[in-house]
Amino acid sequence: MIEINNLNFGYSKHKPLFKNMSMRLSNGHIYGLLGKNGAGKSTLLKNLAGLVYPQGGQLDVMGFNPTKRQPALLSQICFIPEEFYLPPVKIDSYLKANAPFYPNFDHQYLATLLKEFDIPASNKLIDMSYGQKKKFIIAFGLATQARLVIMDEPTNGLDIPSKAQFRKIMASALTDERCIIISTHQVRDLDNLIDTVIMLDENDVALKASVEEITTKLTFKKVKEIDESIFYAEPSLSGYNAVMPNYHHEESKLDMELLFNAILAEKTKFKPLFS
Amino acid sequence: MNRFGLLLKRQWLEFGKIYLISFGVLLGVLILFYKINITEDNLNSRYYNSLNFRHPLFLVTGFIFISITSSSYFMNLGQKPKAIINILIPASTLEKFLTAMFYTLIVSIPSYLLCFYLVDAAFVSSIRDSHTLTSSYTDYDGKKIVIDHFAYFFSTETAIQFRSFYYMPLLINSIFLLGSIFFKNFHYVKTAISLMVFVVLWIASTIYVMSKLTDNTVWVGSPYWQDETHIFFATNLVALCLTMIFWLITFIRLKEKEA
Repeated sequence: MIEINNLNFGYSKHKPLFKNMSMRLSNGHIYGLLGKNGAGKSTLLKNLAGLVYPQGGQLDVMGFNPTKRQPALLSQICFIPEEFYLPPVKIDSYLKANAPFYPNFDHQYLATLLKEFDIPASNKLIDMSYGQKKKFIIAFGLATQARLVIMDEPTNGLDIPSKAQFRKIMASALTDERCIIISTHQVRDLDNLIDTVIMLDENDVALKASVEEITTKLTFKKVKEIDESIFYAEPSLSGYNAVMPNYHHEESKLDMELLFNAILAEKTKFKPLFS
Repeated sequence: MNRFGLLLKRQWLEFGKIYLISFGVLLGVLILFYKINITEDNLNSRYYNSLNFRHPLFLVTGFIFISITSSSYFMNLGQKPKAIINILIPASTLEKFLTAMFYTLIVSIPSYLLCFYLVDAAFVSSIRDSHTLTSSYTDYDGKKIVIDHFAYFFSTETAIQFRSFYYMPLLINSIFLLGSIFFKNFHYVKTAISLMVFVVLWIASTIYVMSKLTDNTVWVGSPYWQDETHIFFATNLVALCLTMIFWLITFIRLKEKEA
């Protein structure tokens, strides 16, 4: 689906964001894109959608070069930006103007999603709250049936019930044909949703591994004391939350926040496990 | 073709509002100027130049209307959230560019001319119903020329001469369309200032160069450049070339636009 080879990009020449980044993303997965502020999560997503031009390397998205912005590729991309704009028109007018550009647009599915998100179809977009607008743009994007779904901080502005709805809808939106990439700071919003974690740090991919691979190789548990086998630990009320190699094939639940902090703090310890 | 049609329809949602507001303001301004300038006193006093206000009005409102509509077309691309949506619309860059040309050229310019024509026709018809004012002179060939001082604007001698400058709206369109994609904000003001600076520099440098080249000299070459039709042809050619260059740069900027 997506192949990134030696991607180089930076907004200024002296401050590169990506240096020779390479990665391959496949259909049928929900990728969680994590990273510190300024690590380049949004920029990577923009590179994939052809919104910015790489300074070096090759990008292949569904067989297309995204920088050429060919309509055949654009009709297969659903991009939900962090900051978005919707014109001051009724939902109906918006659909009439935009939906025909997507050959597989599913009006029935959109109606179902709007109902699930509790957005009346007769609403004017300008009269909606930020959260409602976000839900509308997510619903519209999914109804395009685009094969590549890119979401930048999709849960920002959503209330707690909407976040749960979002997770449910996204889980059901995944098909064998689709690739979904979600970037977020709020890792807990992606709990039980993503199947692969991509972490960006220091101009490159610090980690790319499936949840299954991570929990096979690492174990996340509470411990009373820290010993040498522990890769990383954070103090908690009853001791420490720790990440350690899973030598005994123990089953544990991935703690994404802990993993995120662990990778950033102890990158060298994790590298041999996931290289 | 179908996609281009869809794009025209979609862009109307964004551009239509600005266009209709500009058109409404234009209509109001034209009516206001006609109302203020055409007074019963003027008509009864039989001033030959009662309707002469129309020529500067035509030029000034034409410039403002065409420059505003052209300048507002790509201004959304200066704001990231709007730019993202516009760039990701599944249509080619050429289709997006042609849509801009359709609205800012094919729709805006004829609609301006039609608006001016209708307002002028409405006011001048009512004058012609109750007043007539003509004068005449004999030209070099001994032919008697009659001037109708209450003629419709587009049939006046001055308006006919404007036709030689048919490239001006195209040039204005190309400059302001380029400005709308070149600048991130305050597109109109920045383009207008750039244009003003360019025009001043152009005039000053032309005067300087020509005076350096021709002061204390006598023309001994062919009289080609002393024929005003040749000068007009050269001016039109340069203006049309500049227009094409500005459109080409606009297209390239649109292709390279990032969000």
